[in-house]
Amino acid sequence: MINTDQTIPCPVCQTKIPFDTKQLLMGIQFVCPNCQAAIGLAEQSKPIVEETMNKFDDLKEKLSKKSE
Amino acid sequence: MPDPQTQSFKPSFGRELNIESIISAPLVAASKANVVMVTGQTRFLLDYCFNKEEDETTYRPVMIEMSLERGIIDNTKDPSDPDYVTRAQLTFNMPLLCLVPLNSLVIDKVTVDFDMEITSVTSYDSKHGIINKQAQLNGKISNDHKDASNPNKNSSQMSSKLKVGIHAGPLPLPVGVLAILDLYTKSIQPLPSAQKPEEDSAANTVSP
Repeated sequence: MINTDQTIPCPVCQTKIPFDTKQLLMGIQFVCPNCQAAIGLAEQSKPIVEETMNKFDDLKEKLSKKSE
Repeated sequence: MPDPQTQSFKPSFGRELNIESIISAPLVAASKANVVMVTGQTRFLLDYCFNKEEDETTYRPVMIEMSLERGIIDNTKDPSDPDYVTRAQLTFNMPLLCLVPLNSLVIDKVTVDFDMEITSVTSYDSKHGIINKQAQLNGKISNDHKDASNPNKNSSQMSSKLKVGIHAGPLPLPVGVLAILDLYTKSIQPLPSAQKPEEDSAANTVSP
């Protein structure tokens, strides 16, 4: 499910483009609803984003265990 | 009121407790849970989304590369030409921070529901305000709470209850993080390219 809270401003027309980081990692491109420009994650940046997202998931799991 | 840092709260429903202790214990627990969540997230941001500079005080955001693809219309060609619209691809950098879904949940509402059987009322001197004495209610959490679903149930079979309701909502991003995101949003806006000197001089020439 797309987290609609996450948006990126379109570099062409500044319209907010909703995106989901996990889908970006899968290679999916998100299209600007106004100018149809498509944004995606560059191949060389995938490892660092993937590692950060894994760490973020670990943190969320750790925090939920702590608050139980 | 007990100091939450030093005094533990062990609910003994048969024992007399002051009303502040009963109300404050769940609130302190919720507050602590919020602190744990926010602290963890801040530490994560500093550890993984920023690189520490050599001076140990400056943090530089980790940048990632994004690709942008859009159609470009070539007006010199006929619209029926397959090359009339071509796809142009370019890359731009943005902070990794923008991709991390930071809007985590936070406890934004706590309801404490209990019935209290007042066993004694004491007073203490008020240090603040216009009232000289303030009342201190002491009591036990009552066990004769009416069970609406089963009015015939014997009250002696019911246990004392302190019901705590917690509601979690999305945490708004801190002002500092919003400021960083806003800065980078502005920095990825395209700027008009500088005109070439020949074009400049041509533009400034007034034709007769």
